[in-house]
Amino acid sequence: MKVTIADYGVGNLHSLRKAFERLGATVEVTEEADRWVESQVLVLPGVGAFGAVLKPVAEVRELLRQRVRERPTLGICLGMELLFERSEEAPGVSGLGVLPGTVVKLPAQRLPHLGWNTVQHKEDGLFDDIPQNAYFYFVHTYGTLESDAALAWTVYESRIISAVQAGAISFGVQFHPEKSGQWGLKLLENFLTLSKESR
Amino acid sequence: MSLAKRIIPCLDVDNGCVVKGIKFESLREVGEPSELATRYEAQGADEVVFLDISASVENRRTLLDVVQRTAEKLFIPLTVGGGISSVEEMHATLRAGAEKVAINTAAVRDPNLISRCAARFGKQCVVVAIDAKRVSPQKWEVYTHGGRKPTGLEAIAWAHQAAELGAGEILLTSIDADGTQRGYDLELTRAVVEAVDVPVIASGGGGTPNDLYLALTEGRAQAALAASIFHYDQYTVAQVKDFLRERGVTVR
Repeated sequence: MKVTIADYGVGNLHSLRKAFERLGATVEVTEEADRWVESQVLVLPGVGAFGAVLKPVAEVRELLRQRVRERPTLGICLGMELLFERSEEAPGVSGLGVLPGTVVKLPAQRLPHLGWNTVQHKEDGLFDDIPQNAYFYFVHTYGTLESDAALAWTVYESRIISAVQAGAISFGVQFHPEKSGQWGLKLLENFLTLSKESR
Repeated sequence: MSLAKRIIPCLDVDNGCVVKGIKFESLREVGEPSELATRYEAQGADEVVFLDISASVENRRTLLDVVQRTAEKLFIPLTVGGGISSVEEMHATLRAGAEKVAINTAAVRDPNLISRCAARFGKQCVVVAIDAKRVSPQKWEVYTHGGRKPTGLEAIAWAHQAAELGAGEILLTSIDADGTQRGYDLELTRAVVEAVDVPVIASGGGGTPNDLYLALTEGRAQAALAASIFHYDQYTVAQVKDFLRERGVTVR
């Protein structure tokens, strides 16, 4: 199975690539937005700032939104935030709008929310065989507090949404599965399994 | 359930090898970086830090190779610091596979470097490392150039300024305590934790599980970094975490 990782031009995609390769996928990392739209399985990674990342996305926004709804996609951290309509991080910039709502600055005294925190989740699917309250690695300042699409929750001063469903086989996770050791790899494996089954 | 306190083994890297100094001097080789990093991951380390203590041009290339080799095997975050002095160098280090990059001397020389890096890569990538030396009972001075050069800057004020400029995290090392294994400077740690609204990693002096416990409780740090205690197999990360868990500290 081929996994396409969207490269917005900054940050580190090594761990993400290696994680998918370890799980037996063929990985393509590309800056070409057309390739993101056409891809079989798409990963929107979690590095950069909301406004800066949406520049390359803007041209293919409608196509990409449609694609996320229909075909397997995993948004990680910022990649999850992009699934919403807008973010307080970049007022005036439109997100993909696959899910309704606004990404907000977390109501916490100490930010970023950085480190390992526990995740409570709806069982099966993306979290199949992952225990409740397993630890995942988070590093973010913005996030989502309410969404009908929520699949998982985490408490950092207040309750935040740590995973959402954005299409039949499309998800967003606020944490970094590629940096979350054993359970992170399991989640990526589950995503690949669901993607294969959908074909 | 809540955010866990982090335990972070630190690897001082010189020309591709892990070394550990006592008070920043008398270096002694202890192993191969990517091998040690993966060993720590298996023991339950929450992150790994590489500090390039040589930071010459050829060694920079060697370091990026080491970072790349390590990042390919490691499924926990890797922070890299030492001699990074520009947005471009930070970019190269992130592209090699670091999750976060620590800047120290260059940030003191040009504080706006912090803002430029934060704007480009997001503040979560930008760690400001501060090496501080006690100069009077409640006052610490910032040193740069690997702890050799006094700056005249007061450490608490500098930490506050760095966070305001866009540091996503402060890596705070006590020069007095570093390498002694006699405990962290808890007063310094606590003063910085109270002065900033970003996470603080306590560093310098961790020699026993109880030292790390004190840094995370009395010192109130979000994470504790240590080197010798782990390198020489005095304790594993798992043993330190068991010690902390038994005393009510939330750890992964």
